[in-house]
Amino acid sequence: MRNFAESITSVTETRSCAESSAEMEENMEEKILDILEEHCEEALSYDGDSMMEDGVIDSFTVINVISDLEDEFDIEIDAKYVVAENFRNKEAIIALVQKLLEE
Amino acid sequence: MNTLFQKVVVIGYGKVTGEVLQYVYDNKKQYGYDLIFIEHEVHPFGTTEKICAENGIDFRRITDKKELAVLLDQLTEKTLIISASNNFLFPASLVDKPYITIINFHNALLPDYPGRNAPTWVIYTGEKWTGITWHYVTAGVDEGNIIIQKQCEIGADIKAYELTETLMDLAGEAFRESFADIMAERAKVREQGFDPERRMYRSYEVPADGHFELTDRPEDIYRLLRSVDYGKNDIFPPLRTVIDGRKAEILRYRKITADKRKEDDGFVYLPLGEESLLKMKYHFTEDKL
Repeated sequence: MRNFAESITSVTETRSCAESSAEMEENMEEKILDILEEHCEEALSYDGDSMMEDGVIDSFTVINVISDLEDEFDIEIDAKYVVAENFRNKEAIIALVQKLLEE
Repeated sequence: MNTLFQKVVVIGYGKVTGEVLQYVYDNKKQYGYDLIFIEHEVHPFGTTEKICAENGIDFRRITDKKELAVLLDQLTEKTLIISASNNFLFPASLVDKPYITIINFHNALLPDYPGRNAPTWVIYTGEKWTGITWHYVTAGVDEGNIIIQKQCEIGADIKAYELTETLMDLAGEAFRESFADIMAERAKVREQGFDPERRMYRSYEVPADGHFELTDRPEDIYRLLRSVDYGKNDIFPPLRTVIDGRKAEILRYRKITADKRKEDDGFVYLPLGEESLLKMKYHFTEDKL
């Protein structure tokens, strides 16, 4: 009986961790989208693959977005990551932040 | 629209160069000149290559200075060279050719702040106003006659990259206003009347030699930080200071309200005015001195 109870607790804890992790990720994405909305609302509805080339975002907006991302997540976005590829759409920006948070 | 210029060469990188290039292209048919764009310095977020590709503009990427000098030296027609956000210094032999006219955009109100990184120096020295200058190019750096200037206020919290963006907008505006007169060679110019001993700002110069003390006035530290802030563009190295007896570099900074203060490692807070703090993220570069 104890083992069964323990196993239920373990499953519950695992599920809570997974939910918590999913919540955190959702929370992270929300914060990133909020930052994008502040500096470049058009980026939220853009569904292409080249925001820079398509004129949705320019280099100055990228600087502002980076500054807020660094502050929000307490990360350092090294200059080597500041390339068009990592800012081609909102999904790429989210992936970049995710990668840096995991480092 | 009449002009004697048979060719226009645009050289530069960044936002204003893209605007200038597009405008020059849009007027090409009316004037009948050939158009070439030269990318001498590659910008990670540049739009000029795309503008050239979309409009069939002759695009040349020439990053080697000598190669560029040779190409320009081979120009034989009456040519207007438009230098916008360009650090290539045109050799005197090119400037002196009677059939070559060169105009340049400088991001300050000449004759003040000639040379490099003008937005940095106007912020650092506490200027309240700055602006842009389009001028004819002579053999000397930033010495030619002024075609047009526009000015803007320097805000109390503005960073170097924000000021640069404002100046680029002004440059585009001024260029469009002056283009017809430049093409017709009837632009009303004025001499700069500069002091030959005026300070020339060099690319290797860094305000305060890139260093401050935590005991300096926070307003001065904040101004220094803003003056060298070009985002991730590698214009200046991180500012250095000493924290708890150890050498440190400032990674980033922000002006915040006092209620946003958190006691986290790696941050230092200095009072900035009555209700604000200067929050700086740092990392140590050395062990205890």
